[in-house]
Amino acid sequence: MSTNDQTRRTILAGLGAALVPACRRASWSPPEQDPTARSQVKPYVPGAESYATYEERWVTSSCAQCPAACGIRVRVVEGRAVRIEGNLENPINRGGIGVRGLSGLQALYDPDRVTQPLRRDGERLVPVSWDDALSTLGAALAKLREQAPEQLLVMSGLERGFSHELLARFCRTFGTPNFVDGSPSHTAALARAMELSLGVRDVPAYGAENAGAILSLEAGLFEDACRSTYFARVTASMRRDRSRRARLIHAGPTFDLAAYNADRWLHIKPGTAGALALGLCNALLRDRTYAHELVDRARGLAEFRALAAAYTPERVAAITGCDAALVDELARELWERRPVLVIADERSLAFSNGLDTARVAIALSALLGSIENPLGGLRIAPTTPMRAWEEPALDDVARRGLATARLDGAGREFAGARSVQGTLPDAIVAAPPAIALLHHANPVFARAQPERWRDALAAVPLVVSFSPFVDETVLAVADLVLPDHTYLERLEDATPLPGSLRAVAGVRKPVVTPLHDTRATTEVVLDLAHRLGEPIAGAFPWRTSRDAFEERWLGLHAAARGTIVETSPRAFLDRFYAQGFWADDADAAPVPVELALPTTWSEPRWDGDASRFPLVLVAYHPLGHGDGSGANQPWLRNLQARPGLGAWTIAASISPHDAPPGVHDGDRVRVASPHGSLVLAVHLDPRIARGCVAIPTGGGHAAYGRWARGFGVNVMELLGPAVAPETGASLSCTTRVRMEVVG
Amino acid sequence: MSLVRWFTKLLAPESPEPSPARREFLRASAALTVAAAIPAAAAAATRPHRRRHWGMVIDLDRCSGCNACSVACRQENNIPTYDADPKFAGARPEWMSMLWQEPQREGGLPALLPLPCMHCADPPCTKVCPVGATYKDPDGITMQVWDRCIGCRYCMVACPYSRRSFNWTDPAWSPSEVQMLNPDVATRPRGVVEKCTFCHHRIRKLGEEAALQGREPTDAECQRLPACAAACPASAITFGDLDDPESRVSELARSPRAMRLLEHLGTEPSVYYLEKDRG
Amino acid sequence: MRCAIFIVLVACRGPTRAPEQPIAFDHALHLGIDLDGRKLACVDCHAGAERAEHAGLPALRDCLRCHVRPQLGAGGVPNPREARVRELAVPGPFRWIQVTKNPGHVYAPHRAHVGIAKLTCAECHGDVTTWRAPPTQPVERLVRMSECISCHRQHGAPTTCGTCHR
Repeated sequence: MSTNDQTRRTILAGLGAALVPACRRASWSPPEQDPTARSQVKPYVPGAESYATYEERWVTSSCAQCPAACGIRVRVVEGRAVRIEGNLENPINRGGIGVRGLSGLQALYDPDRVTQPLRRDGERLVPVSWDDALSTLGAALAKLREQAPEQLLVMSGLERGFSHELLARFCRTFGTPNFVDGSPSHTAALARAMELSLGVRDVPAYGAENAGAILSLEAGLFEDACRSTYFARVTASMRRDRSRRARLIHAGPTFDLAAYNADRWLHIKPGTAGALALGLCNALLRDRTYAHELVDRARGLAEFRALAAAYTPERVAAITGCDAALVDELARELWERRPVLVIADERSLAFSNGLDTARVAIALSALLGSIENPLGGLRIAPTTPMRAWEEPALDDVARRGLATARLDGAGREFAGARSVQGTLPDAIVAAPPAIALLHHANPVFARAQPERWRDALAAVPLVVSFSPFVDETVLAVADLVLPDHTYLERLEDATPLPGSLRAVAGVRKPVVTPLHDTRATTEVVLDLAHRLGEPIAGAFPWRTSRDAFEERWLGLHAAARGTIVETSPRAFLDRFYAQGFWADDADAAPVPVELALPTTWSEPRWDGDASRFPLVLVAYHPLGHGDGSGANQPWLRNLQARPGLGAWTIAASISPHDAPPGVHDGDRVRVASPHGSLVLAVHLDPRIARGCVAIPTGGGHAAYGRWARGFGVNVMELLGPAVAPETGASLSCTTRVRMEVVG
Repeated sequence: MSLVRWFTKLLAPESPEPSPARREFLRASAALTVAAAIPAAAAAATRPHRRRHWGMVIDLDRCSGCNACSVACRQENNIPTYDADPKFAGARPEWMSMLWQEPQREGGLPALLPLPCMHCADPPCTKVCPVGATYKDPDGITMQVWDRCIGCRYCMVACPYSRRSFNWTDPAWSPSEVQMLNPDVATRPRGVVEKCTFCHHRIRKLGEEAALQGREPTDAECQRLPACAAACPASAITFGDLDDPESRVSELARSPRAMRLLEHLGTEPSVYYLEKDRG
Repeated sequence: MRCAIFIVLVACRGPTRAPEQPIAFDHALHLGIDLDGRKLACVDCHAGAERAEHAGLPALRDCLRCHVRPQLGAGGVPNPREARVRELAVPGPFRWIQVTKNPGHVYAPHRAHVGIAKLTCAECHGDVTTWRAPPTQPVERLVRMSECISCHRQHGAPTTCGTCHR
């Protein structure tokens, strides 16, 4: 049969030519060897020959490679972690695990980790003992507190969890308002949209198990939204485990994994999903087929009707580039299949209109009767009954410091923001803080305008990083490095990003004894608090961070429900540690909400003059990238997430119609924006939307270990100061670019 | 003694490591071999236990393309990682590959195929190996004996699915990275062909643990036995005994959506795919 | 206190010299002891012999189960060799010197041979009750693959490559 020959040729071709050669220097060379000599290396495995005790154990823990916090089991042989697999019992992932979870071993055994505390000596970083490092930092903090405590800047790359909260607590009692969420995701904007629309400030949870359809508005469901294991499971189940097959409809500009998984892919221009959603709202309102319950008593209904009325199918087609006829057809289909889970997630909010898009998505959910509907749709994230720490007592120094204006403008220029990163480089240059602490934050690479960040942090006299890896920030500006354990070596909570309807509290346990002279940052914070004496020490009345955590977890014990019920607290904690998580008995019940409808939406804004920069840049997080900390894990490079883009590839994808004339796949091109320019390989993609260039993040590392260095280019260099107006969220799809062939 | 028997006796090693002289002979004899001789070891008497036909079903309608199977396989089987050196482009060892297939018709969309070794019931590769480094295990697995392989790569030419990889260089792990290697799977030196083994070491261990309890492994224990099947968050990969009519794999293999790759070649692969349903 | 055990690899088919073990363990003596009506079984110290891949060598804490107090020899005389056990029971690594080493690509699990095939320890290790000193060749016969194969053929065990190789 000719199709099979064709298939065979395709298979051979596909496997034989897996790569678009990327613009990068190889950072690994094969061992020196005589090509004519037969290898004398015998098959070997470390430890297979030494079998005296052959101690093997399995440790349940939680992954930390992305905010999903899936439950894992780690096989440890002779004190070495050799396998990570999913925990079948944990309701978050039910035994599945993602590429990032599996690559955790490569983070633990990264050969280029920071093995001990370091201090800066001119251009170099030299070893220093923990005692010296901590007494230096402690003294500097004590001195700063006497003068101007608000000049302490703390960037925490996590946005939830006990270590994040401990740092926040430290800032409060120290007396600085400058505690900045350093996370690169845009969940802050999504949380703000939920707050404005439904009065609850957190990202939503998803009722997908019984929904009749999922409508993805440019969401990165399987790639960077850090819920890939959840959506893989849910969409597989939607397709195959129901009596009536549910549908995934994805609207987006590129053929990403969400488009691949979609039963229907709507090819729209980047940043225009909100127009599609408004067109659907218009159809539902116009035909009066919508769920009246929430909508009829919502605030702003009249303005919203007026807004939606302007988005006729023809207008939607003009803005998005999709077919006008499909708007009404899709609206009917969604209504018929309700409840529908409408998702606008972090990737949808990468544009300047992200907040409005998210609010329109919420409005569409409401019109489809899919908010707080027990059968499916958008849900308020369930909470666990964990206890809170006692509010710390603040002294006058702290109160005065906290009353000063934040560096980042959150709450002022950015009324809806708790934290803004994009404005910080300029603010720091204008008024440098005296001390900066960076936890899970590498802004000199991972944020827009990395050069600006470097200059800004260079102006700070004492920069301390807790990074376990030598990242760009450490290399360029850190004065002190107090390396944290990697997640497989530390004890902490595993508070998952909301997604599932089952409240889960996970625990993360050390699976091996720490490999190097590192310390858990939570312990360091306690140590510093104790060094600073009262009143700060009083706010941290625990001997070790474990005591602090157990105080919180005992709330789960007191609730006397869920998967672990024990009479004694000790018995509860023993089982909690052994099982790796606590989960509630049942999915969260729906809660009453009040809806406020949006009154505006606009097309995304792009920096730069359209005549000089005719294309728009879609910077996206590729599969496995997550929050960006995976570049030192080579397994995350060996991924085939999009057709035509092989493993180990950072390329600029563009439609053949928009590419410079005469260019071929793999040629080197220059992509320039008003803020910077990059040279990299081009990938001619017949399926990408017209008028845009898509470049993945994660390349162009100048540090971060042998596997990350010298590979690809950093798309962040093309971005300007990309900050969303009301939420202050960092945006990655905001600039225009042009492309030209390089010789 | 017949020439064939003499030849096979020569091939059955008496010591774990054939002498350099023998290796030279084997390399030279590869050029002369017309048909591979089945080594005596592979046809030896076997302990009576329930014969199986290990097989796998991959449901493409469940598969989300997340690549977890591919990475789990790398982790489990100590597959070396090469950098993006163009010298090794397209030649890196990969056992569970993810292949994007461009659409056959205008306006179609690409499809993603996770590709393990097909463990053909009538494999072309075992027929061309001059030294008996690859053979069919009685339980249906196409085995690859790394110590016997002389690196002639005839099997790679023979395989119509291109599921075999060659080690162009010795693996080079740093002293730190070598600690994460799975002690159940040996690493392969330069010059050796490697491929998916259906995680044979896991099957073996499960069989032994069940035998300690005086029983055979149950189908439920086998469904997520290989690393790829265990990792898949969408439960798209199912493993088990195709000869057992009550196993989940044989039930899925009887589905109307079931198909196998390159069926017309008569290789009888043991991996079934359930077609994607673009409902 | 637990002591970690590390094994120093001796890369040879059979020992060319007798290595000096940290404790000059006397199998014959220990197997002759009467412990309230029963004798010491192999698995009391070599815990993995029936169910694990490797039989294992005892950790010092296993010796200390009895030897935490001085065990006097015949005539109530303290034995300096026996006192070594307590001397070595300090924090730090305790090393038995491994004398038999299978290459890493060999998979010869005790589980299959003892647990499933029900071979007795003596069939491979010989009469352990005659060992007065730490053995120089604990596995008398099995140093070549041909010996594994011939025993497998004799007992009807599988001889496919995948049975015994990783």
